[in-house]
Amino acid sequence: MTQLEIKKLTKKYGKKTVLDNIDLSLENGVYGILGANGAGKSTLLKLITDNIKRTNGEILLNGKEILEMGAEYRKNIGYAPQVQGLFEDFTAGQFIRYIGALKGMKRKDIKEQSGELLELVGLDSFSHLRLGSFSGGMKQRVMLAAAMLGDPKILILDEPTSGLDPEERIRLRNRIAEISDNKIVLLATHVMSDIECIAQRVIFLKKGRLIRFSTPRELTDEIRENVGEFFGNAGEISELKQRFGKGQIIRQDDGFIFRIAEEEIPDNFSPAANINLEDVYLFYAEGRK
Amino acid sequence: MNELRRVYGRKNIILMIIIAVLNISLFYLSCDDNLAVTMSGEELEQYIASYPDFIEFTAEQSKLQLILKDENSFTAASIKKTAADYGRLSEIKLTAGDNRGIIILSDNFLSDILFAAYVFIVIFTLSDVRKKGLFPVIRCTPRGRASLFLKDLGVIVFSALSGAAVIYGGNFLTVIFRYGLPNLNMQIQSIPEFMLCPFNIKAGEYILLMCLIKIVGISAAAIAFYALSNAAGAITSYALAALFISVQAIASRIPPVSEYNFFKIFNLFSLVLSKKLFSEYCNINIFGKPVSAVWVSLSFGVLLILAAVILGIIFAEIIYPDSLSGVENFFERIKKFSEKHRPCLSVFSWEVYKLTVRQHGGIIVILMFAAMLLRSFQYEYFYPINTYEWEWYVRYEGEITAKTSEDMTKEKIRLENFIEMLNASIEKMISQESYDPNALGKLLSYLEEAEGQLNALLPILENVNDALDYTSRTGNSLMLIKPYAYDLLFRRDTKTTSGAALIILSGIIFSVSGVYSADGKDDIRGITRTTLKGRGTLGACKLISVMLLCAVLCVSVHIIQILKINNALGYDFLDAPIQSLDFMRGFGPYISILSYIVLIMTVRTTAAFAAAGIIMLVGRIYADRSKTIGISAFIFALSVFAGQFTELDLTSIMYWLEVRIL
Repeated sequence: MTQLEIKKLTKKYGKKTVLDNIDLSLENGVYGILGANGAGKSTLLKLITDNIKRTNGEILLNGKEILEMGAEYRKNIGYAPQVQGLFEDFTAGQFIRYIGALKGMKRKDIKEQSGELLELVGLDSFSHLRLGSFSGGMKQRVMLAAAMLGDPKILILDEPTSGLDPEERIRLRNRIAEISDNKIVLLATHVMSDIECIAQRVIFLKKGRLIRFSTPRELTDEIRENVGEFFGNAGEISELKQRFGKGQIIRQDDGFIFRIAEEEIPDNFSPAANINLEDVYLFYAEGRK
Repeated sequence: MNELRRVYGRKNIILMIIIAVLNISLFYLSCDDNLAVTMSGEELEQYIASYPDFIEFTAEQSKLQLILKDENSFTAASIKKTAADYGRLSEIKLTAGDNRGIIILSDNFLSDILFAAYVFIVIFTLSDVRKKGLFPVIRCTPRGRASLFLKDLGVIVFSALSGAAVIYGGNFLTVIFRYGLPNLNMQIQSIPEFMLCPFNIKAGEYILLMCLIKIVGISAAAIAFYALSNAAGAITSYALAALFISVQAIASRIPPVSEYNFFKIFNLFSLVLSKKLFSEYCNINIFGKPVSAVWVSLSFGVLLILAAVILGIIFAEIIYPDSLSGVENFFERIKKFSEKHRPCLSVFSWEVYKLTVRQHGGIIVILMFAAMLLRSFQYEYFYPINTYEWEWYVRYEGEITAKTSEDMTKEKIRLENFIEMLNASIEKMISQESYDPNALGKLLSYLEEAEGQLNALLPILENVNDALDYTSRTGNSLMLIKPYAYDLLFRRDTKTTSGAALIILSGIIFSVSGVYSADGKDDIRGITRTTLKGRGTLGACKLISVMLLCAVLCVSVHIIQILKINNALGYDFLDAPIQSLDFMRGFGPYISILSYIVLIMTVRTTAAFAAAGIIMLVGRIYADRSKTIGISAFIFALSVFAGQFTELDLTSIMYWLEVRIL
C-alpha cells in the first residue's frame, strides 16, 4: 500500500498565498481535485511532483520526506501536466521511448509498454506521426501514455480527458479505475462525470485552502437542502438569472428549469433531485466556504 | 504588407543579421592578397599589350577554320559568331590596375550559399502555414489562394533583392574597405581571368550583371520550391527539391565539349556560379543556331520562374491540398514501418540524437566543414620558397650539434671567399678594353648564385647558433628542420585560422542554441524533471553530447588547414622539439611539434566547450532558440570587440578558438 502524506503544505509568491496549510493523507485509489481556476490545483500538483519549491510543510511518501528521497521518489511518479510539453518534431513513439529512457526503464520494458499504452490511448496507428501534427486531444493522450509508462505508484493527471470524445473518455476513465487499486491517482479536472464515476474521494480547493476532503456521496449529501429548482418560462428565468447572477438553465419541452445551489433556497423553489458534483462545485466555488 | 510583416518578424531578422555579419566576416577573411592577384606589374602590362593580337589571332583562326567546314553546319555558324563577337572588341581599350577586388567579388561560393539561405528563410516562413495546420483555414478565405500566392511572390522577389543588397552589397563594401574602390570603368577584359569574355562591358556593369543573374537563379529556385510546397506536403517537397538539385548538380559537371553541354548551361548552377558565363566563351546549339551561354542560362531561370508561377497559381487556386497525397502516403508507410523497428535508446543517445538530428546539429557540422573546405587556400601559391634555402635545409637537417655549426660556418667562409674572387674577376674583366660578354655573363650568374646561396645560409646559421645556445642553457637538443609548413600553420596563415575559428563559433552558436531553449520552448521540463534521470543525469548527458559535437566541429574544421598545408609543403620531423622552430624558442615545455599541435587543438577545443557552455546557459534562461542565437552572438561579438580595442586579447573568444602560439 502506497501512502502519501501532505502536512501543512504552503506556497507563497511574495505576499500572495497560493496554497495555505494543506493537510492530506492519501492511499491507493483515485482522488479528484476540484476547484475554480486559480484555486491552487496545479500548484498542489507541481509541489507534489517537486517542480516548484514549497514555502512550508512536508510531503511524505511512505513516511519519508520526498525531498530527501530525491531520484528514488521520482521513480514512483507519472505526471501528465495540463500544459502540453512535447517535442513537436518527435513522433509519438519517439516521445514515449524518450520518457521511458528518462524513467530509467529497461529497453525491453519500454518497447513492450510503449506499444500497449499507445494502443490503450488509441494512438497505436499514429505512433509514426510527428507530435506537431497532433490535435490537442491527441497530445493529451500521448502525455497520458507517457505518464503511465513504468507503472508508477503515484499518477498525477492534470485535465487528462479534455479534448477526448465520450467514448475515449469512458475508456480512459475505466483504465484509470482498473489500475488505481495499487496506486494513488490524483486527477485534477473540470469534468465532473470523471470524478463522479471513479474518484473515491474529492479534494476541494478554494483560494488555496482545502475546504473539503470527502467522498462524492458525502459532498452531495451535505448540500441536499441547498439545491433548488424553479420551472418557468423564459421571462421568469431571465429575471431569476439577473437576481441570482448564477445558476444552471435547463431547457425542457415546455419551459425552462432554473437550478441553483445556495445557502438559502427561496420558498418558490422546489428541492432538486439528483444532486451532483456540479452542484457541489457551484455551491462551494462561489458560495459560502 | 501583412505577408511582409509575417516574414520579417523578430526571429527572422535576427537570423538575417547573423547571416549578413557571418558573410562579411568570412568574406573579409578570404581577402588574401597573394591569392587574389593572378597577374600584376610587368606581366599584366604584357597581357594588356598583347590583347589586340589575341583579338586579331582569333579572327584569323576563324577565317581559316571556316574554309574547312560545311557552311550550313552549326560549327560553321559558331565560328562565324565567334569571329563576330570578338570582332566587336577590336576597338576596346584595356587598363592596367588593381583588379583584386573584382576577382574576389566574382568568386565567393560561400556568399552565394548564404544568399540562398537568406532567401530560403523567407520561403520556410511562408510555407509555415501548412506546418501549423493553418492551410485549410486560409484556403477558405476570399483572398487565400492565388491572390495570396501572388502576394507571396512579391515578398520572395523583395527578399531576393534585399538579400542580394545585403550579401553582395556587403561584399562590395568590404572590398572597398580592404582595397579601395575598384576601377569600375575599366573594360572587364583588363582582368586576365576575363580574357575570353565576349561582351563589351565595364567592370561595374559586370558586377551588376553577375549579381542580377544570381538573383534570377536563387529566385527561380525559391519560387519553384514555394509553388511545390503549396501543392505537396513537406516530405514530398523536400524529396522532389533534393532530386531536382541533385540532377542539376550532376548536369553541371558535364564536360564543356560534350554533346550534352546544353544541360550544363541550361542549369540552375550556371546561374548561381555566374562568373563562368563571363570568363568562358561558349555557344550552345539551339536548333542548329549558336546561342551565347549567358542567354541559355538566363532563359532557364526565366522559364523556371514562369513555370513555377503558373503551376503555383494552379496549385493555389484549383488543386486540393492533398492532391499529391499518394506520394505522402508512400513516405507515410515507410515511416510507419520504420517506427515499429526503431531502437530504444539510452538518455545519452537520445540527447545526441536530439542535438544532431532534431536540432540539426549534424547538418550544421557538415555545412561548417563544407564552408571551410570551400574557402581553404591552395598553399602552393601562397608561400614562395627560396630554393637555396631549401637546399641548405635538406643538406643539414637533423640534430643540431657543434659540428653542424662548424660545417655551415665553413660553407659560409667558402662562399664569401668565392664571391670575393668572382667580384675581383668581374672587376678585372670590366676594366679591360674588350671582353667576352658570354664569359662576363657566366661570371655574373655564378656571382648571383653564390650570393643567393650565402644570403640563404646566413639566417639558417644564425638559427643554428641560437639553437646551440639554447642547448647549452637547457641541456635539451634541437633539430634543424624545414620551417615552412609550421611557419604557415603557426604564424603566417592567420586568415585561414581566423576563418576557421569564426566558422567553428558560428557552428557552435547555431547547433547548441537549441539544447536548452528547445526544452524550455516545448515546456517539456515539467515532465522530464519528474523522472528518475530527468535532472542531473539529463543535464550531464546534454553537456557531454554538446562537448562531443564541439570537439568534432573543432577538429574537422581545423584539420582541413593542417592537411592542406601538409599536402602542399609537408610537415618535417613532427617528433622534433617545438623549440627547433626559431619563433618557438621561448616556449617553456620541451615537447614535440606534434604534441604542440595537439596542445593548441586541445586549447581551441576547450575554448569551444566554454563557448558552448555560455550558449547553453543563455538557452536555459531564454526558452527561445532565435533569442539564444542573437544574445550569444552579441556576447561573443562583445568579447571580440573588447579584445580588439582594449588589447586584452585573452577576453576574446576568437583568440582562444584560433590560438596558435602559447
